[in-house]
Amino acid sequence: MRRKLLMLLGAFLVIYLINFTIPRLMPGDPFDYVSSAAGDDGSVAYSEEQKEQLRAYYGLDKPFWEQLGDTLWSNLRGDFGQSIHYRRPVGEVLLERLPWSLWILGASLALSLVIGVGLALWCVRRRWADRVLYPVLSALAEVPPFLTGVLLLFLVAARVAWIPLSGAYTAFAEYGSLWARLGDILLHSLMPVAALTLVTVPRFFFTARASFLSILEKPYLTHARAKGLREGRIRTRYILRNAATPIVARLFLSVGGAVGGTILVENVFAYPGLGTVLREAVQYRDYPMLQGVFLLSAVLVLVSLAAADLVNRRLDGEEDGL
Amino acid sequence: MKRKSWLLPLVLLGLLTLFFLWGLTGYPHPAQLPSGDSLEAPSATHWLGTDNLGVDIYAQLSAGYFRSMGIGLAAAAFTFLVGGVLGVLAGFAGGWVDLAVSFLIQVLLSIPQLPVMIVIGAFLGQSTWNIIWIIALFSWAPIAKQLRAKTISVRRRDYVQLARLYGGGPWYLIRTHIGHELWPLLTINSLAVVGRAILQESSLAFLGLSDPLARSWGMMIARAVDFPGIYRTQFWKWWILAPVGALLLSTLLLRLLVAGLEQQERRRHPCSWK
Repeated sequence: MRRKLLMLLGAFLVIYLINFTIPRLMPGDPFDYVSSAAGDDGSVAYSEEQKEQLRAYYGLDKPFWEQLGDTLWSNLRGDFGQSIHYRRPVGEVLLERLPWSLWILGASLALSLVIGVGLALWCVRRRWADRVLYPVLSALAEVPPFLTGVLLLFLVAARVAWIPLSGAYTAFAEYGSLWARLGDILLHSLMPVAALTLVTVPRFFFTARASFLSILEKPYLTHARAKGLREGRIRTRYILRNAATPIVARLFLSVGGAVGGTILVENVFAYPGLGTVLREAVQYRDYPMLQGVFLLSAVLVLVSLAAADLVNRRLDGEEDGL
Repeated sequence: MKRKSWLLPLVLLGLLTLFFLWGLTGYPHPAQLPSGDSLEAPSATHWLGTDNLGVDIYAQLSAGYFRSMGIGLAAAAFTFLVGGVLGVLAGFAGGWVDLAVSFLIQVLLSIPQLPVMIVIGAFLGQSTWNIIWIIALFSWAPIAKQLRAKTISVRRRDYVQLARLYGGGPWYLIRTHIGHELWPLLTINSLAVVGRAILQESSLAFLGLSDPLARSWGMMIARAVDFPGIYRTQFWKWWILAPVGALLLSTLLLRLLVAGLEQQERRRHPCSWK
């Protein structure tokens, strides 16, 4: 199991190296780009001397490994460079936008967990529900969330007056109280969270369903029934508790897909999280910003994979102990 | 009817292809140039209406279909080759080859795909081939993982071990004893990549990471959503629902096709499937 953590560390190093090398592998020189962007006819090109000077200033004349060390050191100190589009430090913009994304991500994962487990419990008990829901959910599982987002936007949000179409809060609104403000934020996140939840529910449904089905065959359930325990108690104490570990692990494993989903959904609803920053960064060729968002989301996903591993290890430990 | 559940989706996919082939060849309006007024409703001349620039939507959809299918098939071909070769190699060779390939697979499976695709795509530039490479890069890992596990389990069987003792070389063993067990797993899973790649391409195109000159479903949706005030109008009924519907229909049919093939394979070899 320590191997798994080593692997995640390796994955992080690969990601970090990709992030670091890709701009350097690109054809051309950053200063060609700057100079041709400055003048439309290309007459404002830098001289060789000026280019040398600029390269020295940005440390781009150093050997590859030394540049890598410098970047690593400044990243460790929380310095991710300067955003070209926002003209502010990348770290500052990231910190400002991260809470919005985390809210969408967390809320939809929590909601999917509850709905998915609930549906699985229902399907395990009623065969007809299973026959209807299983194909529907397996079709939903691969729909990209921007499609559910677009459909919700036009079929629901555009018709219901009180559902806001975009943004995270009413612009320039004066709130009477903290509650009014929280309500406004909650209302604005309704559609993005719903769009993401729709495609995340199947993951939890399948995990929970498989987990329930394997537990229902266990002899200790027959034993519990034979003892005359009430169904409610069996459901909570025997089924739910024993099925919990794979479901909790699934919660952490789903973060990777959900990060991608958040990026897409935020762009449908113009929600001011990391996803909209990422799309803007792509549009304006804001490379430092792009790399910042990428590193942050990679760290988020890898940490949650490590958490999933810890949860699974607890399960293994329990089984060894029995 | 129950025997061949893959037949119906296959026929429907064929019909869909013919429908879009007509849009590309027989239909009078081009996919790249305006051919009518801006935002015309569907009519006899413009079957599915026009977008804000007056470009016919049915013609755009048709171009998008062949582009999506092309990207999907190319990614599937790559997956088939790379996933197949590396999976069997890792499972059969063992040792450090297995360790290296398994590490690569694990890394690719744990990296958050969409952000990586966006970063690579943004730096490489927006061409169709780059999109194919980026999607293919991530599509082979799950299949290689399955094939590796399957190869290991088949290789341990007695008759394969016996054939090995009789002096069968690795290529002989793979060809006669291991290959036919892996074949359905490899082909069906590669086919499943087509639909997934189409959806991934549309996601990337939606974020503005596709060839801006090509007609892509994801990009059509993105342009329509960005159109100011489209919620207050009727335009979305043909401008948005058409590409969304095309995307959902074609990937759903592909999925049903794969599910049908899987079901048949499971019926034919109840024990060896997965």
